[in-house]
Amino acid sequence: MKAALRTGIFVAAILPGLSFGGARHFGFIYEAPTSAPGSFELENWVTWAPTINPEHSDQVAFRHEIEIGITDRLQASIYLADWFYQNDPAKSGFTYSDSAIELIYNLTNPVIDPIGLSLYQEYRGGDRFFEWESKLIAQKNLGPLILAYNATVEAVWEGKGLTDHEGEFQQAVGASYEISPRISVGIELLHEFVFPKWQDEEKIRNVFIGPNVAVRHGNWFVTVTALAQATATSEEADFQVRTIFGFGL
Amino acid sequence: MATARKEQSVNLAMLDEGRTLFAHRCIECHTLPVVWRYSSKDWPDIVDSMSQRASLKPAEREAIIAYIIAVRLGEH
Repeated sequence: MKAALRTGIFVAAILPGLSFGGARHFGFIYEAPTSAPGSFELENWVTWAPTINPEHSDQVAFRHEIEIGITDRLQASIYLADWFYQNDPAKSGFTYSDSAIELIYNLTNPVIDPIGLSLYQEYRGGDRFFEWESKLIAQKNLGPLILAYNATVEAVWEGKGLTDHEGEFQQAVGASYEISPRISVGIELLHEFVFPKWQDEEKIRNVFIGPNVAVRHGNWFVTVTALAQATATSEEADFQVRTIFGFGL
Repeated sequence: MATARKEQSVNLAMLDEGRTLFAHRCIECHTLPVVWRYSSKDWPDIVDSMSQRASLKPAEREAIIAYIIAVRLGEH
């Protein structure tokens, strides 16, 4: 992880004066517009996921991501490190999880086209862990209102020899209303279908819903989303609070 | 045709590029304001103030300003 962070700092140091990649209006939902070519942005994510289940522990997850605008339609991101802190009586502490590469290709614009669409692909790897994630991003801007929808399919291989596997299909929908040029508020809803061992025998369905607020100024933004679980899945967190802080480099 | 700053001539290709850039780059951070929200005098300064954040080259910045001013002229 230290090597990845050093690489990120080095890259940031040799690319001075570059611009902002754009502000996020949602914490758990991706938006269709991609970053301007030549833009370079660092995003830091913190996700707090508490649970009341005594068999599970609260977790705080961190992500450090560099977002780069490649062309007018293509954006790339490097997750330098995903890591987390787990408050577990048996084993508390910080653990490195994985790093990843993400690509987003914009197809249509949410303002001038009937609907804005983008395609998303992510590859994530860590110690005895590999994940593949694809996403369809849809968005429509109606004046100060942004409506967004994501359909996500992901597959995970993990454990010794990567023999354990799990799949998930997720739908996410959100609305964000710009109450001033610098502040937006809205709501997000996630609907997850989890497939342990790529089977649907357990019928695991999770729904999370909650508000968001996004603030931007100059070349930085902060977005906070707080979601509560609306289902009764004991394996999942009861709440998820995500803060994303991004700034142009 | 409208005339942009510094008496620069404006053609349809420039206005088309300005429209595309206005719709693509500005929404990376915020929703699009209606063009009559600010005066023709104010728009160049507003676009200038955001041009670095939006990675706008000088010609792209001029194209956006020309488009906005042309739309405003067309509405009067």
